[in-house]
Amino acid sequence: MLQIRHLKKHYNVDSDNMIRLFEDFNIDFSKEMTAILGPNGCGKSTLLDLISGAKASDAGTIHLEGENITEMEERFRSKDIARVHQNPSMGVAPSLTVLENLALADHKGKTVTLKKLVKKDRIDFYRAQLAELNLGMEDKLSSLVGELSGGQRQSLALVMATMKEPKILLLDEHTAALDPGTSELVMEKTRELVDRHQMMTIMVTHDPRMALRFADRIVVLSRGNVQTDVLAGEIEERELLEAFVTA
Amino acid sequence: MLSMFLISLEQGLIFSVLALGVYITYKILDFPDLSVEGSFPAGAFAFAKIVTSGYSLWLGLLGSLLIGALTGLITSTIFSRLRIKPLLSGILTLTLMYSVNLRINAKSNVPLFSTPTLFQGDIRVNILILALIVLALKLLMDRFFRSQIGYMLLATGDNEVLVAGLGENVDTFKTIGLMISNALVALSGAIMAQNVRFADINMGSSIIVTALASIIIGDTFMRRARKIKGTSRAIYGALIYKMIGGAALYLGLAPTDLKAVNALIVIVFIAYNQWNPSEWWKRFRVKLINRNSAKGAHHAADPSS
Ligand SMILES: Nc1ncnc2c1ncn2[C@@H]1O[C@H](COP(=O)(O)OP(=O)(O)O)[C@@H](O)[C@H]1O
Ligand SMILES: [Mg+2]
Repeated sequence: MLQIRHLKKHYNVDSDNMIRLFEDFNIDFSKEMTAILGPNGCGKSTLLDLISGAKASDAGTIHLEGENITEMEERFRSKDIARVHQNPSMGVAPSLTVLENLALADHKGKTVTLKKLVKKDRIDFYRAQLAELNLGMEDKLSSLVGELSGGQRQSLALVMATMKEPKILLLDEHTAALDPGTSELVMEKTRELVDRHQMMTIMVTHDPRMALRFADRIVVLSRGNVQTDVLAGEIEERELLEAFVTA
Repeated sequence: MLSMFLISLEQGLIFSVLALGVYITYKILDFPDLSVEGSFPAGAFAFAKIVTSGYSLWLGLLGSLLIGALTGLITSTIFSRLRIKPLLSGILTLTLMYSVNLRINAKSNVPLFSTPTLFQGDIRVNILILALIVLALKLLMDRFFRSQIGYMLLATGDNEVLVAGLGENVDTFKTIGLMISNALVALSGAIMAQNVRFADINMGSSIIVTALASIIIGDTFMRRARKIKGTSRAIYGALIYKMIGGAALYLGLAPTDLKAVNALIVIVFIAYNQWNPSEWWKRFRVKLINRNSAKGAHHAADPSS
């Protein structure tokens, strides 16, 4: 359970173009897949930044499973909170190979030493993880990640983010940079991964139809507030589109 | 001719150590580190101080590695604690090291005639010893970059967001990189001092250009050879670079013009690497089309939202 209470976040404080993004924002997330919709600039990415710790809030609290993580540094939160970004290159190291990237993700949470990073006995496990994507990537362990397609890179980023079973998975328009076909494929893979690992997932998307198809719960944000908050089964596409347009 | 070649080879091997060091900051971390201009003479002076005080060659070399690592640590601390840009951090460190270097021996030039040295006399033997040192350093570095710390350093240069997402502090790996880099550069300075038989306060000046030239030349010649490791490229680059310089001197270039030639080599090689005729033509066409169609019209696509 993730509880956000009285969250406040302003940008450009003490300047002419101050943005009062969140004044008193409250929401709870549970172990399901929540899609966050809302117009450009309504604060979706900022919300994820506040949850991951990439940005600090001005006031309010964030509790994860009862623990107050509001003041916790990003890199300490990252043990529990994984994130996939819109840009497929942000979740991977492009100049390293697929295998090396997976080994890096596999090492998350352990202290780094002068021992070898890539462990031969883990390769079968990596290959199995890639095989589950059904993208033929299990044969590309020694390819440079920079040479993969955007969809493959984003799928790899997903596998890397979820390998250590984080409590929360944050997705920030992670299919927006992909073409429609690839985008749908990556969405399907996302849902499979979420189901397999049983993760609380908060997915920002600009596409109401994708939200309806893949998420359990849909939240529409508007001017720093929750405008709509429903289960995906309880809303018609037309209704959601209306809510989205008027937000 | 042969002696010119051998001298260039010897110098190239000494500068290979420098290039291996700068490779870490320039190529891997993308951190333009000017403090090497301070750590190169620092290595020479620390070595000179130790051996003129009667200690052994190996202690002298160790001392140079340590003072180099310390120089890297200073730059990294200025950069990460005060959030000062890499270039300025490096300039501050090299200025600081200028005074430190003068303090070490209380003079700006220390002759090294009867002190312990790697160089046994015959240039062929010297080259062999240097080649073994360079090879050992290269293998050590390659092994390091297969380690957990090494990969984190590579990833830091590649994508800091990823490293932070793995729960690591990117500054740690930048610090490690800067320390190793400057340690190698200082070692190169100590070896150079033995080679020319003195340590001098100005021996670091524009050494960064030599290092960059080596790395860029290595990359240019090995552009198509993807299997060749960056460390090998840096070494080849330093060797080729010194050969070019040696040939220029042999053909009558005045030694005083050497620095200008160094800078020109870097400029020419960077220009050559950047010059991509088809890409250039594409951009030129796009420019023409834009000018003709949308005169003054701004398109405001905001990628941040
Ligand atoms: N670092 C920042 N500094 C100042 N303003 C920012 C910053 N980040 C975002 N903003 C502003 O805050 C608002 C919300 O941004 P964001 O959270 O990225 O929205 P969304 O992801 O919903 O499109 C926008 O008006 C944006 O311009
Ligand atoms: Mg956004």
